[in-house]
Amino acid sequence: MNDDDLSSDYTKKENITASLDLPVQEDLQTEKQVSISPKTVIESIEPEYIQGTSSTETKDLKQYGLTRPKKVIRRAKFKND
Amino acid sequence: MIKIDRVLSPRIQQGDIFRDIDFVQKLETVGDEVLIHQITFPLVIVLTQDCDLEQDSEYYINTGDAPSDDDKKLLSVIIAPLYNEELFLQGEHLNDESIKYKMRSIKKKKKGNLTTEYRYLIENGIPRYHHLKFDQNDPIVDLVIDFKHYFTLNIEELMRIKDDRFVGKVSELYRESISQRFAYFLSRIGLPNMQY
Repeated sequence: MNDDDLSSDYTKKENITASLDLPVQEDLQTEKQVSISPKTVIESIEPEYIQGTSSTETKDLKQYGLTRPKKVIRRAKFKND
Repeated sequence: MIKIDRVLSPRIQQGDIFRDIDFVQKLETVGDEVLIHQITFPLVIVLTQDCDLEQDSEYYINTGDAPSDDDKKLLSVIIAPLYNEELFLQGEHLNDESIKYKMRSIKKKKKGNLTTEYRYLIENGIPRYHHLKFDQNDPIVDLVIDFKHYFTLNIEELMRIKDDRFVGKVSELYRESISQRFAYFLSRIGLPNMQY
């Protein structure tokens, strides 16, 4: 990665790949279980797409690229068998 | 004017445009929970070299001549978000309730005429950005790539979802131009500001 970008990012948080601490909006929805290893189960709470970003809505508009990126936080809980 | 090829290929190709792609920013452990911070980009483009993608596809697609080792296997694909031009010009393309980034704005017109900076933008004269204007028959608005924003996606995951998320492929020459400008921007040398 170019050091000029990293230097700029140090003072101005404009770089997505290097900036990690953004303000967020949490979405908590329904629960499901996904096995990720023989001994571990992950309980995942899936977010719904925020209005304007769902694939169905995008297709209905017949135009791509109208919306902004959206940030969500998904929660997963580990527990042993 | 960029032509879009709407034919879905069995493999991922340089210049492919996909919709609704998740970028995982970080995994945060809080107690017995893991918080997955992710950004969903409405549109992204693949910047990885096509010859690399073609060689990698031999591991996924049976061509009758399977590779004897994993030497050409890719770990990930380079992806850049595509931003709506109108929001980009306002500096608002990453500024909503979930991502509060206020970017610089670019004025489109002044006294009824296109500004010099906007002309540079649409003629791809600003090294940091790449402007994409599509054919009127393609249902895609004008878009901008910011070469400071890129990430990688696991190639197996992208292979899994690509058929559902495929929008189109930027035609040849145009896609090479994008990747070449991206590589040039990354390899630039930042010199100290000069005092005159």
